[in-house]
Amino acid sequence: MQNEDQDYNEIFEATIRGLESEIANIGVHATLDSEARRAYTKQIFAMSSELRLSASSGKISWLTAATQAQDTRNIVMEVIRSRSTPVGLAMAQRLKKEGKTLNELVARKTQQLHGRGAVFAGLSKVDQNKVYSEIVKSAGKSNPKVTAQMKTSSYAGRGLIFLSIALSVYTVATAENKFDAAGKEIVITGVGIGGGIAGGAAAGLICGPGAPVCVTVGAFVGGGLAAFGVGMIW
Amino acid sequence: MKSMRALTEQEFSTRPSTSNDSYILLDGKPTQKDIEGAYLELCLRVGEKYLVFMTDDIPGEDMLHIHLLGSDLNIIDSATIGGMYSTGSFKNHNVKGPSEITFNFIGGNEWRVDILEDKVFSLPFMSSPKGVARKHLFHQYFKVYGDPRPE
Repeated sequence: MQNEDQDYNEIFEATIRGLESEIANIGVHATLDSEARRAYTKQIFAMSSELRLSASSGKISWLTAATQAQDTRNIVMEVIRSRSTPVGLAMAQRLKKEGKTLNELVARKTQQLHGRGAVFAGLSKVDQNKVYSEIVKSAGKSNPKVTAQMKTSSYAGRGLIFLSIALSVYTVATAENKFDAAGKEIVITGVGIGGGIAGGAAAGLICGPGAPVCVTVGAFVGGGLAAFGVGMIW
Repeated sequence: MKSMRALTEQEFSTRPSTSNDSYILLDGKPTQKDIEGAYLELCLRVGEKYLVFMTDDIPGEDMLHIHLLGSDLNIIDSATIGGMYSTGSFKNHNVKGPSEITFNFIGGNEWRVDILEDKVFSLPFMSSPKGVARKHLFHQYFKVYGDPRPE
């Protein structure tokens, strides 16, 4: 009877530790994706500014700058996607892209600057360069609403990480063997985060690209199971 | 009978008021009405109402904002199609009937907007296709249909 109570107690403790590690898991996911977003916004703006400077100083033509801006932005986006968590990647892959070609952008910018009936070929060289310049400038823009949402997510993520640390500190402070408790907290939290990333990635492989709900569930289950398992073994 | 007609730039146009929003010009005259979006793709007159398609003019991460406006230009309902690190291009629009239009934007599929006679109840996150965000959570004045593909 006493052994049974002890078993239930261990399962309860491991479950609580698993849930605590989920707080850190969610917090780290939110923070990593927000950081990736910050890097994306910064890098495409820097790329656009650099290309405009090069074209203004005559190092490259405005046409070259516009072409490079398109290509480089796509590369930056792919790099940033690869730096996102499996959940962030699944969100990004949710909808198949249908971007505009350079010719379509040229036609649109021409009409924006010179009216709906304007044709690029009919513009002076200076005006054509102005069109290319606007394309380079717009390549450095990220969607401000998405960036604002990610900033909010970043604050929430950091808050959850802080809460997780506070819970760990409390657990260690109230434990009889503080050294053992500290080790346990670090390992369980770390394994929970690692399990979350691995669970999300595994769910992504099973469900295919662009399935954020499935990947989020995978990350949650992976993190919880990993933390629960280590909690039981410890 | 209700009909759907594309308006010319002289009849209905927009000018950016902030980086996200634009104000409306009716017959070339500025109004005090703002709508989300920076670039006017299309405006349709549907009976007394207006169905407006706006994009953000951000080639790398464009979203499509669909607004249903009343005759007073107040927003009745809105929806946004798009997502982070993805982009779309509004094209191939085709008026199919007195209250229905199809177009391509993102997801490699055809989208359809159907304007309803009256508002209908909707469930948040469940009453719209993937990639569509709605202004109102619990009711809709137009439906958005589509089955977008992932990458």
